[in-house]
Amino acid sequence: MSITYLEAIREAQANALRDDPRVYIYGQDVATLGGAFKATKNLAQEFPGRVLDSPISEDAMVGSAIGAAIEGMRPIVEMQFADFSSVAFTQIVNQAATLFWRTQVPCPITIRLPSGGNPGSGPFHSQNLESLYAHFPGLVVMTPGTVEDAYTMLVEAVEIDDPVIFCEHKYLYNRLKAASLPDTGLPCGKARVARQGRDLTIVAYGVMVQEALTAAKLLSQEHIEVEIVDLRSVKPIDLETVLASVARTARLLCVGESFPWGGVNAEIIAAVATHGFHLLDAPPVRINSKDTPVPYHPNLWNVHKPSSQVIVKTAHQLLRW
Amino acid sequence: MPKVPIIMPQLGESVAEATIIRFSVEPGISVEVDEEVIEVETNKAVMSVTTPCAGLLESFSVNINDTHPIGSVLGYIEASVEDAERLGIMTEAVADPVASSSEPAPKNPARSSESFVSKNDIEVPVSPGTTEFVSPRLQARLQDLQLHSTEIGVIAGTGHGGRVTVHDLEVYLEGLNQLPSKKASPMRLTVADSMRRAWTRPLATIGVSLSLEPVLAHRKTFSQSPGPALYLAKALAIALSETPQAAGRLVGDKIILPNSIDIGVAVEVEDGVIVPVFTKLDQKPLSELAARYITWLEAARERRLPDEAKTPGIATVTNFGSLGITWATPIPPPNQTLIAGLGRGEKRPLWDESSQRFVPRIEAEVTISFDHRVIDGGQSGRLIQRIVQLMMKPETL
Amino acid sequence: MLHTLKEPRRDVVPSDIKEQYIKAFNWMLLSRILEQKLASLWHASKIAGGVYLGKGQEAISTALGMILKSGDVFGPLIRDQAGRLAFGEPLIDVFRNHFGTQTAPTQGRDGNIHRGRLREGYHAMISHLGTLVSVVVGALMAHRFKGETSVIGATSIGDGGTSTGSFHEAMNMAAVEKLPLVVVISNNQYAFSTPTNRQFACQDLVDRAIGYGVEGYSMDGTDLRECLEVMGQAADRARLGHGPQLVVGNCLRLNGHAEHDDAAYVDKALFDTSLGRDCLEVAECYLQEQQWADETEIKRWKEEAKRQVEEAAAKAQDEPVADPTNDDWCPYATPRIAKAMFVQ
Repeated sequence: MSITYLEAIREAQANALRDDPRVYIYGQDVATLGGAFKATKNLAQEFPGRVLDSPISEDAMVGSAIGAAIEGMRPIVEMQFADFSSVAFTQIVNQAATLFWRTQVPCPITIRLPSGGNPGSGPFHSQNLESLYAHFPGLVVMTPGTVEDAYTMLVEAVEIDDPVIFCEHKYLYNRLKAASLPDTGLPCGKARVARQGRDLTIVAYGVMVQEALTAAKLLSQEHIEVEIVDLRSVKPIDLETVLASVARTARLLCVGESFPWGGVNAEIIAAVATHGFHLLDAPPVRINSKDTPVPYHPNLWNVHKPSSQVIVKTAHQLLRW
Repeated sequence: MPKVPIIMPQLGESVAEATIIRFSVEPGISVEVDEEVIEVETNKAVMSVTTPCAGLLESFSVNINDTHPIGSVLGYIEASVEDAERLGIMTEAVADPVASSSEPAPKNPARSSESFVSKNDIEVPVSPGTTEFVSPRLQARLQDLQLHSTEIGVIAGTGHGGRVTVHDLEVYLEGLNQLPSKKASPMRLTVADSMRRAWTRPLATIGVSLSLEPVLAHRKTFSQSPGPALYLAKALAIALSETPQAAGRLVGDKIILPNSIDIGVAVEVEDGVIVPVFTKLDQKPLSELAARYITWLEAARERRLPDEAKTPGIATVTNFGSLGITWATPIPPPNQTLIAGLGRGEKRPLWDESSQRFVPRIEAEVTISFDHRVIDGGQSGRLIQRIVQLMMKPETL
Repeated sequence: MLHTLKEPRRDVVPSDIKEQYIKAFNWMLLSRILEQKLASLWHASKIAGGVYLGKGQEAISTALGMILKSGDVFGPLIRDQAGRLAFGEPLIDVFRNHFGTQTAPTQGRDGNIHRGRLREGYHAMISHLGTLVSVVVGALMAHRFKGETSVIGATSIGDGGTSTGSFHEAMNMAAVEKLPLVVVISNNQYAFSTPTNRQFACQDLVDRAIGYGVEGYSMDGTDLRECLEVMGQAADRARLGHGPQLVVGNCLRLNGHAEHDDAAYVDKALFDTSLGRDCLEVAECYLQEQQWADETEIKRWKEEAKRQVEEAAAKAQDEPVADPTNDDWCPYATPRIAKAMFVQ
């Protein structure tokens, strides 16, 4: 029996619908079709009236979720692609994120963002927007990189009383599999050491955790053992685990698929440079996608984003310090 | 002749730009400071732009009817160096920061696209690759252990390019832990730090053999007779009052000159050295010197020297001869560049031309160590010869 | 096929119209006097941010507030002070939120009209126009999920706000979900300095109702009686399950966009038309015409309103303003997320 990353997401939603009558799912094509990626397959049938097709209105999808949440519901809004969430930007960052701050009334909505690139998906079906939303106070931003986390973190997202931006990585949907789903997992805000090592700390999240693991295997053949920290959530971010790892290895490499200017990697490096300067033997380094929109042709796309080869090469450079 | 720019001034609270309407002076004309040279129009009024200093109006760099923002350059004045410096304009000599640094950047460094980063066209080496590099982690470890970063100079590094790693440091320290040790006294640590800093200059030493006979005879005329080292101190003082630049200090491109002939005389104290300073020694009589020296010797050993003795000093005299040492290469303290030392007086056979035979004479070696960046063999040689001259005629001291 | 009704149905005269009218007039009066007080406080530099008033729109707004019952959903906008009072907002909340006291609904973290009482169904707007409508839509969806089908919602937007994508999406969604929502457009002819001919090209804003597939009505925003009747009807139709009701109230904005705006751009000719009438004056005349109140009584109401306003203002001025050392500086409701907050 094996379960994919996507199935884990579906399972989490099914459990939420089953266990909590306040939960409903609102998104484009989520009901009859079961979602563009089948993340809600059969759920409309299993839970009639709780999984609804919305018009193409991301702004109103989020606005109505906020209103429903104020009245006690726990809506899950599915954006068809993270890239389209920008239409709802103002509702997310100006209304949802500020509601509790302004009124002391919580806003327990979950917005699922199918994020990241696949070959041929192009500039508007490949974006990683966690950095954008993490920037705004009041939001929780999750970036699961394993099947188990996709499940437990989505369940947790629905339970959290604050607006959660759930960045699920599309590349992992059907490619990442696990034997089974756990009952519980680490809480949001705790990072996980995905691999222990001593020569270099690689901080990653989402699909890049897998890419880092591949790089680690290659480096291991050269007797270089890297430690991989899977952030799991980027807001809140677990700096303690990162610093503890850097204390062991004295070198830091942050890898993320998002655009380079400002973002998760920059935050980790700034924090480590400030709070962990005395731990470093080498400058902290980051790898992101190139500073261009995501290209369409796979040849371009493969070079645009970080790869295990680039991680290996950068690791070598860091070890020369 | 440096060029000073004429800048569009702030012409009113909300004014951001102005239009050139008239030039009041022709280029090539001599101008005074604050002279009106350009008329400009803002949305409120017609105003004048004046010269920032006197000089020759070299050129205007704008045209009539052009509009330019506040702060833009409107023209240039050829001005004096003083005026240019006063206004903060860099003169040509220091305009190129790369050329003026003591170690200029190489013109064609070994090109590797990974190891260089271009910052405004200045090559900045990225890879440390040297034993000098101390990582933040290593620095933090040294701080924890209260070790100076220069301590690692003796450690053979196993890191990239021979760098000392934290591991190397730990191995080294563990090796030391196996050996017996005792705590260094505060005096020892003070002297150690002073010597570390003193050693950052290229020092050289020269020496002569000096007959002590005249000095030994002269000192018998005193009730409280000064030691030969005090004669050396007075001779050094007089010689330096004649050529003070021999005790100069090089900082950047300037030689800092002494403004008072203050000479220190080194005194051994428990586990270290203290140097009381005799101010304006060139003007003080030897008799006074002798009495004061006895007093200050006591005081130094009890660490209660008066403030006057703690004046910085421009050169030092050390009498290692009293310790039985024939000659030595003393080290000038970090704030001085010159030190003279007197060795042990010994009876030696010296050739006497008049009697055509060897005669026994008491002689001692005088050595002078100096900062070779400030003076060379020639100047130091002349200095030591003058000292010898003075000490051969102690009545002139 | 839905029609757009441009004329209100006058054949239905509510039996308690006099009581309703008098009540409405008093809310309008209180709102007007309250806003005059806010204006003078602003001019005396007692208020940190902007002051936005609704002079000329009190009839529309009061009607909006009065059609709702306790348990309904209310989403007022910038110039809805009268409606807020009618829905039950305590007078002192207004001053507290403008002063930014620790006792204010937003505790000094937000100001002026950005306030509400969310647990009582009174929602707090944000500056982005149109975004509140979908919040009311969502609240109504929640009530429906919970089986509370007698609940209706009412919200307000200006002529300018109808140009936003947020408004369009929200109206469309309300229509698709067939929710019991009354949306009143206070068409006061100007959005800040922008006249309506630069805001929309349709002949009449109420024509948009056809586009959305909802019922639409127009009313004279200066006539309190008409407002009460049309809005009352719209509320009834919503309660009867006829879906969203779009009501356009036409009037003129009688103050600047905010107190810092002198509105010199407004076409002066408009003040002389019936559109430019002051609804409060019109109502005062109507009360006397109908012999529902006389000058003495009205004067007494005015004095009472003034007294209440002064009392609330004075009390609020005595309360401590927001204190940075007293703020927990935490935007999260979930305690363990708050504990894990970002450290720079």
